[in-house]
Amino acid sequence: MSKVILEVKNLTKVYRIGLIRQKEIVAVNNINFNVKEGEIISLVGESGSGKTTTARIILRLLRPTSGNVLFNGKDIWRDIRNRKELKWYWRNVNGVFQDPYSSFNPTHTIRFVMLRKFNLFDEEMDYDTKISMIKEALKEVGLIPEEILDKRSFELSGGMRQRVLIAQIFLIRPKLVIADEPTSMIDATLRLSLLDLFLKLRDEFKTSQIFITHDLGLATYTSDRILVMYKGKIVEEGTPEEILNKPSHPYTKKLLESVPKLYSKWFT
Amino acid sequence: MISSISSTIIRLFRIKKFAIGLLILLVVLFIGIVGPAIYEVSPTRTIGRRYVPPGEKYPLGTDALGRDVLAQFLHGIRGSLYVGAIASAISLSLAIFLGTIAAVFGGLVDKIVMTLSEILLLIPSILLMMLLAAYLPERSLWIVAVVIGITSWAGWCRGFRSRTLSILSSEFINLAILSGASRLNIIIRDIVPIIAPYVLAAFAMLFSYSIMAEVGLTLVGVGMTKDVTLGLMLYVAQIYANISQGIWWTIVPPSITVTLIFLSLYMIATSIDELFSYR
Amino acid sequence: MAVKININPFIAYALKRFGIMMLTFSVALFLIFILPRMIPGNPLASTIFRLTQGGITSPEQLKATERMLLETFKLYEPLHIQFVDFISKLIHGDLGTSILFYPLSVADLIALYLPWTLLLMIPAVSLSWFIGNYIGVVAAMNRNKFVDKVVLTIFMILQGVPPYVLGMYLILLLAVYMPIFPTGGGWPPGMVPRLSVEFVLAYLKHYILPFLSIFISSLGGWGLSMRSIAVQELASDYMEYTIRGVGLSQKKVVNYLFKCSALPQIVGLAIVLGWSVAGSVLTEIVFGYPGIGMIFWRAINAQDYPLIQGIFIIIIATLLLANYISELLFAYIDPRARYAYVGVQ
Repeated sequence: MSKVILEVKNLTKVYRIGLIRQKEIVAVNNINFNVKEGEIISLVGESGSGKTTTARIILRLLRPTSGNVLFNGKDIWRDIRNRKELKWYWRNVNGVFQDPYSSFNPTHTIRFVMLRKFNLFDEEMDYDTKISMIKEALKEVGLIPEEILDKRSFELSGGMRQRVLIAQIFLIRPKLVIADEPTSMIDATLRLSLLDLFLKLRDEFKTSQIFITHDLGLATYTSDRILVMYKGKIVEEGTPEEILNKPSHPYTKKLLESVPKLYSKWFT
Repeated sequence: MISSISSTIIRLFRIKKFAIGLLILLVVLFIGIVGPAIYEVSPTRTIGRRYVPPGEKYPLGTDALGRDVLAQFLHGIRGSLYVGAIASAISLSLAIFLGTIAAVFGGLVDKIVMTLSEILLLIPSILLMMLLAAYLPERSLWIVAVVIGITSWAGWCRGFRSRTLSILSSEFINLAILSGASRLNIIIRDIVPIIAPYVLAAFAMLFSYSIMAEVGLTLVGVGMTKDVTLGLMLYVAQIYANISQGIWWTIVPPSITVTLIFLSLYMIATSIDELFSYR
Repeated sequence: MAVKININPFIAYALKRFGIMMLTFSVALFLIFILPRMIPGNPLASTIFRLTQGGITSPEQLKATERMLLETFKLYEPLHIQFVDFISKLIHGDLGTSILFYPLSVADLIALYLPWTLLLMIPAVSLSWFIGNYIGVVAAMNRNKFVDKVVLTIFMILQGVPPYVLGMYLILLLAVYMPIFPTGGGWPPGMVPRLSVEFVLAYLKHYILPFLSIFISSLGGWGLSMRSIAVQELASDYMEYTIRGVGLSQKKVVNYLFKCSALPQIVGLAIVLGWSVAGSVLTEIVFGYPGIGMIFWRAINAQDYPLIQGIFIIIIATLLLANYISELLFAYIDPRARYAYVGVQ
């Protein structure tokens, strides 16, 4: 059994909205799970189920109301204090977001976006080394570096942008990637090839992944383990086969009904 | 960084409209700043007969009160530029400040700012200015500029609000954080480059708008009473019925200059806007 | 919430906008009320003082004016009573009495001069809307060709020339150097407005220059915005189909495009017509045209506060109403507007 690299313990996030009539919304309600080395898990749920909030907390973009996230035994809010430790964390845990359009600053070239990731590296490197590493990463995701390096994001298609985002992951080779609906805004025909990039990441660098999606069918394609989230709670957990064949929670059953028959036939 | 800025500037200058606009503006600025220092004739003292046509003694003639029109013109440009600069600085700061806090804080702050700006937009600022100015007994350059400034921020405030909102909701800020970029680096490299062209365009538009507004206010009789501006020149020409007497030299220079200032800034603002509206 | 579902979104939108309009009107009224009373040195009191120093010759008139001003503004009462009085008079349509045109009431003065303003503005703005938009469509059809570039340059310059400046040049050119038209006024001095051929002809002669200055200077704005709308329209698939596939003649396409793109511009027309009273002030001053703008100018120069106040109220009321109508029109034409608005709720 490979070792656990990420532990999520009793994680809760409460949003307070409104200035006068305050309303509390429990986005994430006391969830627990862990991720092992080289494992791909999926958080499946509809929008508002708290899956994106969970992703942001793990990426240390959002502070939880209570609970802990431990990476390699270190609490990411308590034990990481200075910039150096922060960089170390993001070197090891990084993400890809849903929207390839708003993921790029329109004033930046792809070269700048990629070079920026070297902030996370400890070792000093000269410019040529960095560029050759960037080119390597871009090739890995099926892009032609010379063609896109000096373009800005609005000159690229949605699929190409998403590949650039994944190339950043190939560049820094983190231990854990959190991919928040990375394919939801991409043409269905391109989806599988993008998903294959994530599988390649696991096979080549043993990168663990948390896949966040609303599409149970997609989750079954890549994951080792599926967690179903509903109204801020994890209501069901299991391997794709278990979930597909004997779903226990009514919400999972409902999700299953909306999965195209194509996927489920493989498992029954 | 430096190379990307200079390449942007080069691209900007390749737009003919921008280059022409900037050239006109620089000439007007030069005249307004240097002119009064070189041509040392008082714009407010009677120095000769009234309505002397342009000639050797008075390059642009004299006005209804026997004052030197060239001196008035040079000081008028300077005065109008002052009004434009002060008023646009005030309204731009208000627009940026209110637009940004509305976007960042949301909730009640946002509601108040939005309702306030909606009301200001519905009551045309030129009317508000008239209303304010009509009841002020003596109106100097500063007062007129402040009145223009505090009544014309609403539209741009909404613009800054929506720009800030769209930047805040963009994932690229999160991705910059995940790239280990510092807060300062994110402000300088992510937020400023997107907002800066908009600020520049807003400044140019507000500047020309303020100069026009001063002329309009003064012509109606609720503007400048103390300092010399292009508006005041036209006002004096108007109340002494210079147009129907065919006294063109008190009318043509200030009116053409106002139009030129407006056009140059309009050209600059639209070309900045065209270049930086990423699609 | 349950009640809300039954309300037609259009009506909900209309009510909401009505609320905003009334709120804005109240703010405007409050400003009109408070400003003259708040400004240090109290301009009202100083006006009364100035009047007692001279300016009005007969002692009875002075007394009457003073009484009337006190009556109109009730400065001896506390502020809140003044405000209640101000509003209740307004509701009864009582705008007070003018100082300058004593003993005429402000309402009568406005009724007397407003028609001349409308007679000038409505035809000038409407015609310029029609022709400006038409040229805009033609420019869009010939995008980036020579015609388009010329039109674009001229329109841009026109946008920078305010109507009153254009008016000054028109007077210099067509009334002073080439004395074809009179230099100003509404009709020859000594003539009395009435419906006779003689008067109408004389009026028209005075009318043409102010008309031209408003007409020409508003062409640019309409043309430019129409051109950009039409360019977008042309880029849409269905236009592509209409032009290429059906093979319509150039003229028919222009007509069709005009109709398609004119909708948002109609809304603009409503707003500008509402503006017309405010917008004509400067042009009327330059031409000495006897409209509401002219008496506004005279009121300001004579510090005739009841008249200034009355004209402000009229201008703001027409503006808000025109704006409201245009919003409803827009929501009626484009359902997205109202749904978006109600949806935000």
